[in-house]
Amino acid sequence: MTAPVVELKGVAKWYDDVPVVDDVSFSLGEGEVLALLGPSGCGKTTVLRLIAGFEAPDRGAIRLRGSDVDAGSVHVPPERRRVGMLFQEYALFPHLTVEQNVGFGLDRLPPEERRLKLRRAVELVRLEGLESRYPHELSGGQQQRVALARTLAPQPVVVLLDEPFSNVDAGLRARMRSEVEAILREGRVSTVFVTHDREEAFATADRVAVMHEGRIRQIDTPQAVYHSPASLQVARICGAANFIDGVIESGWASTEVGRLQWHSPDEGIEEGSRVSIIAHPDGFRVQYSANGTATVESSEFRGDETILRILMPSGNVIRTRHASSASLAPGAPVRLTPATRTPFTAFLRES
Amino acid sequence: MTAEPAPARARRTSLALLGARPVPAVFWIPALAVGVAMLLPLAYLVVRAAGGGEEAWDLVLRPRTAYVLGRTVLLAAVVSAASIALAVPLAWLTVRTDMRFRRIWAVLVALPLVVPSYVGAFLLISAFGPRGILQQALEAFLGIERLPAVIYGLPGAAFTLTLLSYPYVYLTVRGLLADLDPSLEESARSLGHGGWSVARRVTLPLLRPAIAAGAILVALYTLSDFGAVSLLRYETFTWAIYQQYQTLFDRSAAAAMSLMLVFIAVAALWGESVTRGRLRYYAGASGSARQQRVVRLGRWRWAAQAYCASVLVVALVLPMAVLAYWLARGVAAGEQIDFLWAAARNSAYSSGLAAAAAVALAVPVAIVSVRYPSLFSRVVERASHVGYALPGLVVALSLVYFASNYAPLVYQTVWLLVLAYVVLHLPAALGAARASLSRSSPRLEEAARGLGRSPFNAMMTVTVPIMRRGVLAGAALVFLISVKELPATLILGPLGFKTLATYVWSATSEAFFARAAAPALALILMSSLPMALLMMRGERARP
Repeated sequence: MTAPVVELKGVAKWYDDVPVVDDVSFSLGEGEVLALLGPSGCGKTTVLRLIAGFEAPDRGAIRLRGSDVDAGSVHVPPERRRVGMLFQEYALFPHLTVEQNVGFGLDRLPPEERRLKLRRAVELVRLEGLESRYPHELSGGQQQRVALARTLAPQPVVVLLDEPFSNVDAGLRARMRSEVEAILREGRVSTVFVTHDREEAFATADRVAVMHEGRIRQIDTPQAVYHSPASLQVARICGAANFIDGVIESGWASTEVGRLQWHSPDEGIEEGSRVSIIAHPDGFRVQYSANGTATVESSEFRGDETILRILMPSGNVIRTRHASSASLAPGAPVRLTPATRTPFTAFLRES
Repeated sequence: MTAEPAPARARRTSLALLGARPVPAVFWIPALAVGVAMLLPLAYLVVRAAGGGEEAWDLVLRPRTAYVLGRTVLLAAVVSAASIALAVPLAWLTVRTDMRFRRIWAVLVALPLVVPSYVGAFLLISAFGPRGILQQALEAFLGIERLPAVIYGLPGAAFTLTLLSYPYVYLTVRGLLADLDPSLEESARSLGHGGWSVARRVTLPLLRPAIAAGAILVALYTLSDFGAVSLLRYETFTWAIYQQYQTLFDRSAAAAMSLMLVFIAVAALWGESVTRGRLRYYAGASGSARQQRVVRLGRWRWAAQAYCASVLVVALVLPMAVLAYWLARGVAAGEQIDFLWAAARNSAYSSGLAAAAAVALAVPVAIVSVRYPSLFSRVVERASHVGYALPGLVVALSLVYFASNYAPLVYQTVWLLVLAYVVLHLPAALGAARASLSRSSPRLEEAARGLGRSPFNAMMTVTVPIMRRGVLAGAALVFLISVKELPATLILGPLGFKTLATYVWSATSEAFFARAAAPALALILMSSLPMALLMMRGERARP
């Protein structure tokens, strides 16, 4: 097996005695797309900047294709790492044309090769005919494609994307994301990208690293971090909407919704343990029931779906999602049943 | 209330004469008056030169004029280039590196701006010229009675003017350098470029507009300089015009030559805007001002300190030491200093009036041009910038002609001098007022109007308080440059109205160095105060 494209081992970075990145380790395989997902300020952008070499780690080692770029006193400067970074604001050079921007990383090559690579990069992002424009003469989408072409042209070892779609309005976002993803997949480009948008992470990445307060809390496939989160925090970051209190009784989790099947990454859950059950909005089916103890508090019609807020007897509110044709009026008595046989994830509740 | 579809509408209104929204009379009447007043000197020059007849034009079109013109352009080019070479490293060191006492250096290296050019020239001559400090010392020890006159002519003039005007480049470059998006340089490094390559191919090109804007200020300053070039005997256009005026009293020829000088200045301004061409510099779209990386200088630290220190020593410390020497000599020789108080009061009075008037006139012009864009507002704004391109001497001459013929009431009063200061220095006040106004939202005034305030009331209670900081900065700047102003003060000052500037001038032009020292020092102190305030304000505003 070949060495991983990127490898981090116990990487830590402090700013003024505050750890921003703390004991981060992971490795990225050839052609893999990894998302760093977490709230703002969790250190995910710093991880990218460490890989790119704009910052030096205070502890730990970073390797690119098996050779140390950060280890002990070794710190290879950014220009000798062959890492491609795509910035949030694209960072196109305003004084250079599209062609000069895309060719900026190619100027050590012999002219013939340079021309070839330049043309290939321009074709890859379909910018033919715009080569002599300046960045301010392009639309936002075109600017992003120029930035992508510039990053890809020197064939970097790995491409790093820093919140690449956060400047784009919601309408364009999905389209640009799939465009960029198609280009990266087509070239089998190893990619690490940073986002706070879980849908973006789930839709685009092979694996998702969930970060919180400088640490990676879980790193796994999108399905796994969503359905089997390693902690309550991960569950929250991955969009779990409901936290239901329960007690373990004869192997089941007994809650006000009913008896639920469960599994848990926590050791030490036993008979009588008090637990928190996490449930996504699609975890329950809601049915009208004249003697149901729960009631519909409000119904929010969103076009492609309807969100119900169900008021439980305890005063707890559970959010559920339904096909938009569902019609339950506020005040209707209802009953909740698990939507699938998949067990719910349970965590020990501390007192 | 009608909601405006902003962008599409805005584009159309900027071409219409009066714009889509009615401009309240309290704004457009003063704005129009300012525009007309600013164009007055220029219009009068044209009339005068046109009426000069063949004789005047023959005088102007001699080969000698072309020779002087060449010398003038050469000096402006040398001073601009030297200022760039000196100032860009200073700006970079004080913004981007971990040099010790960075913030203190940042303020100190801008200070030479307060030294008037004729004071700089006088100090240079009094140190290295005939009968200067160096020669006297050499005579005492070695018996040398003559020094080669290297300080005269181009070398001395270029040296003096560079050391006094490089802060224009320093300040503009500093401003842009601090706002530069750090991800541009980081991108370049990721694409395989090392530090020098990034500086040459990314940072410097991005700084070009600021360098050009600063260099154009230096060039205009050099073109309009009168004091240093006459003391150092480098004949330029300004000096030639003055001599024409002084010796021949041929006003048409002087007016025609003044117009040529204006054309050079306008050509320089036009050239600067042309170099930008199709390039337009857009700010980072998100405006997420990430902290810029501080460059660690390592063992280069000492070189950096030495560079800043040597610039400061040559531009400020040595001149001050020479000044202190002459001051001590003067006191020892029993020079009178009782005139100083009256002269300082006259300087402060005329410059203070000019600062107040410039600011009061700049506010309506700024409001009209920022809030009510139209063809009218653009014309008024352009007209208000005439002072940029008009040398002080030219403005003074045209006002003399104008007042002596049409306005005898203000002729030989301090008001005419104040008017000259305002015409010359309004652009500085306007720039500051505009900048602070365009950073605030027009919705604020609209909210005040919606709550029942009249346009004037809304301006006084909302707009002016918002602009206060910018307006004060503008006033400080106008005061500082008016105090130093020489040619207009010489020509327009009423009989017996002596300021610090005219005292320094009359003493130095007759080589009474010891007598010039006290007013020169007072002048520098008087303009240092507003300068220090401006610089410290700028430092605080920076993250």
